[in-house]
Amino acid sequence: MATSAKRLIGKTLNPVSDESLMKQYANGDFAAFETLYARNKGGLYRYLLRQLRDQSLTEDIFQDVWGKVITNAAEYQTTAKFTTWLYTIARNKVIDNKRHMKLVDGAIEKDKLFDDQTMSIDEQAQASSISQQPHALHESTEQSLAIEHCLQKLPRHQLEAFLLREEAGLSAQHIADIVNTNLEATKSRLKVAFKNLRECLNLKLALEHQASSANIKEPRL
Amino acid sequence: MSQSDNDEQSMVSEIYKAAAKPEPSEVLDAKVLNMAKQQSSSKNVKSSQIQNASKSNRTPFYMKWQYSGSIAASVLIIGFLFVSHSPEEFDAIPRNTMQDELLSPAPEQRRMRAAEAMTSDIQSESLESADKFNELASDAMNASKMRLEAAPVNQKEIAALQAEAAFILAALHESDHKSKLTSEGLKDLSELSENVQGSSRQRDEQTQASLQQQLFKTLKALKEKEPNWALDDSFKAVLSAEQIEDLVAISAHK
Repeated sequence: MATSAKRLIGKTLNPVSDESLMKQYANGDFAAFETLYARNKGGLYRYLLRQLRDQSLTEDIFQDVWGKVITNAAEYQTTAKFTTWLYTIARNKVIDNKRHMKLVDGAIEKDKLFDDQTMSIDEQAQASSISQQPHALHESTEQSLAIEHCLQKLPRHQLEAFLLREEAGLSAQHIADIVNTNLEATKSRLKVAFKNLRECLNLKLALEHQASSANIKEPRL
Repeated sequence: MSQSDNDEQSMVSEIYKAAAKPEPSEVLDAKVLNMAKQQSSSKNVKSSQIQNASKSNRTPFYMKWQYSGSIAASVLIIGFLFVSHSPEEFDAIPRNTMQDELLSPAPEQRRMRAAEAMTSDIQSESLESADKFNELASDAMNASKMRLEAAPVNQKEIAALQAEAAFILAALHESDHKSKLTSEGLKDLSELSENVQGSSRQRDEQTQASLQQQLFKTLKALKEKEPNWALDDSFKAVLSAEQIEDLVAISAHK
């Protein structure tokens, strides 16, 4: 409900659609691109980062994706939803990169690398959340860390569907179009992803509570 | 989707939204925007160039098709008329089949087959006319033989010349008919058969000229022997004006 309300507010504040902004940019209006970029940059960046789990790689691919959007602006068809087009490009880039990584590195080395990078992302997220919100509530930090942890545990297809839903705000149908599956399979994938996240969060938060209460009790003992 | 599912989704979604949100760095933003700006400015230059070009060239692009389209239509119409109004000699082959063979973008083999069919018909007609010629020639020979036998001894030479002239005339008529037949009949054939036709036509013309010359010589000899012998219209039709004048001059001189 809250998500749809936010989308409605966003639409009311920004009445010009992504599609028409893209069309304006294709006609040479740079200001239209600035608006379009500001709207979509965060979601796309997080979509890439959470899947690739490497900041420098994410930045490279992020730049590539926008580069492709810019060069193919003239060929963009307004019949297609802009976000669908954008995330299809991004997904293809991610797949290409994963294929490339498989060829270059061994599967074991890749897993090791991912583990290291996961740790660094955890640290980055923690550091940024603490630096951005020095007086943030302990609970929200806990939740942030828990969701980061649970996202990493999520299977790749479920993570992809979840990110497309949350970051791009796409419907199940659009997600199905991007990931080349049918609607029912996508709905089921989303449902399982949310369920797994919920279970993981409950468990993680419960463990955190137990740990924190133990820490509080310890001095008394 | 059940209520519990919705609650579950909204709860997870809220936690996710509340979590830290990494954003692209300012350097990265600047890079992307700079890339877009460059592309946008080059696009503006290109579009202005296109606009200028379109202003200078007043004929719209789609209008340029009218020339090639009209040429293609003309070729088709002329081709159709040419085939549908082909000479009667071609009626020997069923017309539809022949038109199909010639008009269709058939492989070389088909066209060759069509050409062969047409030439074989013309050849058969040539054979028929050759038979006619043989009949005419034998008639002329018989008539001249009878005249020779019936003629007195002093007139035998003149009768022989007359027979020869009649024979040559018959041969000339036959040659003329044949050349007409070949020139009309082979008109619509393909390029290959046209080469064959050209050479045969040339051969016929040469034969005709030599026959005409031979006739003139025979008639000249006849006139010298018998100046009173009147030049028949059938001979005049075959001979040239100069040759007729020469023959008239011989009888006048005598």
